[in-house]
Amino acid sequence: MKYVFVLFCLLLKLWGESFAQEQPGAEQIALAHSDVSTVDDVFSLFNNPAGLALIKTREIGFYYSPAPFGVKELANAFAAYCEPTQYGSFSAGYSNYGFELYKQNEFAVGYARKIANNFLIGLSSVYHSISIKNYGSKGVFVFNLGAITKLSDQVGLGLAVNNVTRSTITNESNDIPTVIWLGADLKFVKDFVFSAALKKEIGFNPSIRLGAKYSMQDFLKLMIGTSNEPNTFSGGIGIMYQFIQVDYAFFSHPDLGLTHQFGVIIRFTNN
Amino acid sequence: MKFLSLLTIIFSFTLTYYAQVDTARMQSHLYDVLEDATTDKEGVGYYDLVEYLMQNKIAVNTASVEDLMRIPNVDRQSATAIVRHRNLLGVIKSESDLRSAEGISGELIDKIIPFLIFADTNDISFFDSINKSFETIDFTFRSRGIYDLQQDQAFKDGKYYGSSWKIYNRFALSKDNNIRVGILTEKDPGEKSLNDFTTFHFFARDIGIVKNFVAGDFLFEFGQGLALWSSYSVGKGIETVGILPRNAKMIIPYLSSDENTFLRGVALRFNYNNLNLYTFYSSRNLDGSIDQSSNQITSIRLDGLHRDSSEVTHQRIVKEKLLGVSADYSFGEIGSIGILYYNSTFGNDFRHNSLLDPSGNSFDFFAGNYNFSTGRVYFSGEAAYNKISLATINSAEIVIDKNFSLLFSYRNYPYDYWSLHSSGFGEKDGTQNESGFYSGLKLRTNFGDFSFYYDQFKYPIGDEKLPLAIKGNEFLIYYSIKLFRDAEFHIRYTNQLKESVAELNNEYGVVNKRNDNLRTELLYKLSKFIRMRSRIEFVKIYPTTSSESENGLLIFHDVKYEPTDVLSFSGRIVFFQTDSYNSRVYEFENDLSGVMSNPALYGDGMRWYLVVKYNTSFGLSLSVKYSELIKPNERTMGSGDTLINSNVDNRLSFQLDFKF
Repeated sequence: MKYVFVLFCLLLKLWGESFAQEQPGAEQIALAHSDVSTVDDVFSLFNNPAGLALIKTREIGFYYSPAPFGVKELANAFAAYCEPTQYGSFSAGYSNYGFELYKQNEFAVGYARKIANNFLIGLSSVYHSISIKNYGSKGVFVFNLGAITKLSDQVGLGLAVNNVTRSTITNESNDIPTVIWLGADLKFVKDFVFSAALKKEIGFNPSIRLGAKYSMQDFLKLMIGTSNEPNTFSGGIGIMYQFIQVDYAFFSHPDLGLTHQFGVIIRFTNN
Repeated sequence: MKFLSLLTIIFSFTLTYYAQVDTARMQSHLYDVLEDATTDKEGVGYYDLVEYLMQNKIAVNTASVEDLMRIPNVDRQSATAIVRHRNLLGVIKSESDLRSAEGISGELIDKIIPFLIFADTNDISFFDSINKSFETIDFTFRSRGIYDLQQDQAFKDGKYYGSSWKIYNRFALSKDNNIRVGILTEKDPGEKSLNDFTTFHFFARDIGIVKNFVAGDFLFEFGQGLALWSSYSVGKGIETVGILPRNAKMIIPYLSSDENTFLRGVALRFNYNNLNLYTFYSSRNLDGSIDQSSNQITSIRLDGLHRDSSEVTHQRIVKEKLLGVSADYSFGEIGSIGILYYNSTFGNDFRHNSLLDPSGNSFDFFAGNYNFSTGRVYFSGEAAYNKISLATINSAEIVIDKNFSLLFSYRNYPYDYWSLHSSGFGEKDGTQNESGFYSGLKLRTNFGDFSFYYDQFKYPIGDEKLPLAIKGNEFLIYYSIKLFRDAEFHIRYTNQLKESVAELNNEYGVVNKRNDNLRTELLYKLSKFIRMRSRIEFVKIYPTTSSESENGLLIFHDVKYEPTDVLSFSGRIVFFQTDSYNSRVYEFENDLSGVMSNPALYGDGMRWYLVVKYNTSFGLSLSVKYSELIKPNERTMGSGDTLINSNVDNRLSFQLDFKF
């Protein structure tokens, strides 16, 4: 049993080190999570909740990473739903990671709205639950804040703070880290968005994330991203057909290797 | 429950916004001026001065050039431009009249409007004023409590006499700008009495030939501060040209919480046309240490803390009497000259331990200053003599164009020039043992504003352990641009190379230190109600140029939300990471009115705060601030008496302002 526990501690550490994996969305991972100010799909719930306010129609999204870095035990799945209304966007989501002996689940709800011209704010609450066989389970609520603004048609800014309440699941401070993300995007030319973000988590060096998204056709987009701390590179492709969008992303970690992610988003038009 | 009832009553009375002072403008102005100082100092004194000047506005239609120069940021050229414009129009009736003046930027007018009044209220004499009804009397009251939720080790050990509350109360009464009475009490954490520190004054103006009269506590500023100055001065920063010459405000009634830098007695100003005569007398006891065997003063203590028997032993034991006279004569637009003499006599001799220490107990100071404008070139300076050596500063500002100006200044403060009351411009405090040459530039273009300064300095006596000269230099480059209608971007880089005396292998030697600082900042207004500010700052220091560098990083984001005229919220979240205390970072915080904090952050952690302000319709304002400093990877914070057994240091502050 002790061996199993050590194994899962190791898995948890790997999970933490590959932080890009913690937050879902194939497009977000392809962009190295540089899209703090441009995130605009249903997975905003787990990234920058303000992005939910950019969603115009009802959306459901599924995301799956089958074997991150070749380790099947690290497989993770997310599902999210967003309902935009005249009072703002409401969202709910679920994620699952682990297997029989160790499981981590998240139940999330979020709300976002426009509060001024070109200014969006969002709040999400995530219930983190960890269950270890023979050790029991424990859960805690975590709150995330986000904001997005457009300074002009070409320039946008984003802010997200994860775990603003500094909730902890154990007696150790910062076991669920409080993280700040500052992001900006530039649209130099039509259909091309360059995004950059700075992430700072206590105990870790600041990480700079850069990404670019090129919407080649109405149905096709290409993404690429890179970061330091850790040094990663990533890329992906998104294909839209009528109400469905399918995304694929790859992500390379210097020590852990390559991994693949898939996402599907279904958009329900009002009519 | 009573408290809740009180709150309910207060809220129910809130109908319209009561503008106690133009707080938003003042806070913004002060933030710009003070946060740039990047020092351990907290600019409370300067805040109080600015607040005093805002509450005692200058009548733009009757003010002289010198009167207008009392306003922060107004130099002789700008003051002259206002007077010329007034002469042209006959009377300046409104802000829009002022904006049509030539030679004054819109940016400067934005800054000075809170200090001006367009009616001629200053024409009411003292005697007219006291004969009028009491309707024109303004009462202001401010009460503040600050409480650290984590107790320091010294409080746990019962070392201090009093509670850990910091309590501040201030009351002022003024009538027609002619009479003002003020009293302030303060208790620092650990001190026993609510009035451990008390300051008070009575101020009157226009009593016959006596233009100003103060009884009680006051400050006196002369020339460029080489001989006598207040505690209010701002160091080198992004105001690269406007920093010199300083505009001395001469007599200032004192109502601030700095416990050691004021004078206590009587001060008078007599005026005859362009000639002003001043005389002042002060007698007070300072905190300090006196050696029992020799009966000599070994130190003057400036922290104002009286928390335990050791600190109380040093309380108010150094006697100082000060008597002075001064005069200045204004040539109007051309300039002015001034002279000063004062004697400062202490109850005991000072112990002369090193070359930099004073000796004896009586000190005489003679000083003269000048301001002279030739239109585009503005000369200013001061020389101060202490019967041993001469300290000087001379500056020239060259206004090439309204968008392009330069400043050059040379200062020389000998090592044996010592004055407890001086505060000359320089790299370090003290107006002693420093010479330097400062060059500044300011350029406004269509693609942004540039500021630059380069300062070379030298300390003739590097250290008492190694009396060799040491030197250094520093430069700053600052660029700001309005990216969009409501968004500004600032970038500032400073570099300092400085020699320092250090112990190496049991021998003292000179080492070179280097300090780099890069700050980028984005300020934007999202709507009428919401303003944001994001900053990223890097610090890189080389403790010695041969050693490895240490790094510091600061990231913060500010939000200010004012949903209504009566309610405002401002908050900040800060992340920081530094290799050591040496590479610490600062973040100047908007706080409760009258509090300006500039905490040094080091290690790895975060800080956040929220300030809520509520203004009622009947003159009452309530403010609350909650702040937390968090270092999750540490078990304790601080050390010795300030040790706390937690990785969270949180503080709660309340303030009540009442004006009626």
